[in-house]
Amino acid sequence: MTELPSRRNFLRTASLGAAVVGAAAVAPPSLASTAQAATSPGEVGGPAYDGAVTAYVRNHRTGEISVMAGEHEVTYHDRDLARRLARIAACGH
Amino acid sequence: MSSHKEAPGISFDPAADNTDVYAFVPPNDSDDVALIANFLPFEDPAGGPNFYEFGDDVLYEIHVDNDGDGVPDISFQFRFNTIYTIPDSFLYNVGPIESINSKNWNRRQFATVTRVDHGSNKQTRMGHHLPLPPCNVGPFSTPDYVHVANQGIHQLSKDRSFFAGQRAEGFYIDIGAIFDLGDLRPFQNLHVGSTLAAMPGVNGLKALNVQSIALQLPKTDVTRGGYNPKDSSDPRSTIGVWASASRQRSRVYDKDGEVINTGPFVQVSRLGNPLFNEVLVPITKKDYWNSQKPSHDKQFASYVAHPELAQLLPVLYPGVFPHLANLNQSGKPRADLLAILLTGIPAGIIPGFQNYTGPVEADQLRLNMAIPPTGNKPSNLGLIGGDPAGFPNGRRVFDDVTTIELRAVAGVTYPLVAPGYTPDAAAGAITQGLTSSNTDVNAKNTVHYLPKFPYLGTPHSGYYNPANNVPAPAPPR
Repeated sequence: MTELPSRRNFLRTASLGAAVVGAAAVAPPSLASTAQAATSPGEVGGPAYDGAVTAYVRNHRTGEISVMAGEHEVTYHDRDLARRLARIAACGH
Repeated sequence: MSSHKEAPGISFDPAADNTDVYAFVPPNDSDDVALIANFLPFEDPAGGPNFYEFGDDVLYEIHVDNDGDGVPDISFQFRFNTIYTIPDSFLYNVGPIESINSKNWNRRQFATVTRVDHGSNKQTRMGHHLPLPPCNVGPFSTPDYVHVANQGIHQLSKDRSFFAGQRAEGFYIDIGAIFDLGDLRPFQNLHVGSTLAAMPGVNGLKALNVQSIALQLPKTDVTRGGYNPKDSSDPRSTIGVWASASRQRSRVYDKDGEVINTGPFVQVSRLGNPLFNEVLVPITKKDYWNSQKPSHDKQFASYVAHPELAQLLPVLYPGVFPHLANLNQSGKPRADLLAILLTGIPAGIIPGFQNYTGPVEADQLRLNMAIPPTGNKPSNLGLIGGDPAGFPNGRRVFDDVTTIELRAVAGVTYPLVAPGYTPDAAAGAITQGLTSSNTDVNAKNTVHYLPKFPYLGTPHSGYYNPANNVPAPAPPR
């Protein structure tokens, strides 16, 4: 199982308009920093990421979900979750 | 901006739009190499209440490939963050900005510079919280602009200089004519169906500014194994340089006006040779090209081997390019352009010159750092003007890359690979009409370049140089 890094390792990237007091110490970003997560539902454990999380489902039939937080991305496979997210999305149409 | 709004997608994202890359050995510091990457095209001098800046949410990079595989060996990363010192004011500044730390200056930007050695995966922070100079607003806000701008030149360490901020646009092109179906004003009387008389070129980028990132450092900082480039025939003397801009994969506009970016950085813009994506890649592939790494540029080689522009020149100027027309008809690939733009020119083609990095086809500025800079009367036509220190051996700020590339596409460089070919006389006469001679290093309406770091001139003041709003002549009724 691959756990999302802890809150200490992430910085929330704010908008251009946000005031930042002092300098933000940013670890040099890596391009396309991705990790493969557990492919089976139920194996994800550990602490929850404390900040904005974006989940991207390109095609719910494949079950592939890109979960993004901070400057990292975890690719997760869960057809049931992907299908549920797609059903939620359909409610908005 | 040899690459300006060149792709449909990036044209809507100026803060991440890579406009020019320069790489050269400075004449006054020939142990060093200067690397410059510019962003944000068509920057009018006048602004307000917000002025031009780098994007806090963009990862800017300058890459160096020193072993010819098209993959960066060293990357210099630049991140920016913006602060407000007077958050309740609507103004950029509430009084004169007399120094880079002025209490009158509200919205300020700072840079962090990191060196990434991809081989060892070692990341070294070269500078942090480095203040950028303000934009050149006008006599009340920035009364001694040059003094304040110079405070934005930072010594990262001995012999390593950094600057990021507004500069005068250094690229010059008669953009309004050239993209009007390839109109070259000095020859527009010969354009198909033309009723226009020949006239001098117009610098369409007159009185514009640009955001510039400049680094100067010892050559040994970027060569393979720290080699000191003295032998121009040694492959370690040549580096490939390009720049890129990346954004995070996901962007969400939250209800309170905040923008949330998440995910890894994804490349949205890149640039090596000037005008590559601009005039060689089909419009439907330009954004895709921007997303790709140079090591994958073999997929675009056909556009270099058979450039559309070469096909158009004989059509647009009937009877002027008969030899080029025959060459086009033969279907032979333009091995000269493939060498210039994708691999570098191997030894044995031009006496005493090579900037070949190997067989991997990759769009990079290839700079042979062992070739000494030309101090006295450099040619703005670079290598085709007999000056091996100029483009396509890297690129200097004053090189007339538009004329050089037009002449190359028109056939002047084909004899390098086919000695029996005679270029059309017109090919060697092509000019934008923006320089008075081959040794003119101050093209029409460019702000004079600086002889020292950061090399691009003082930016135009918004007060003195507002956008040129003189209307075009009214069309006939």
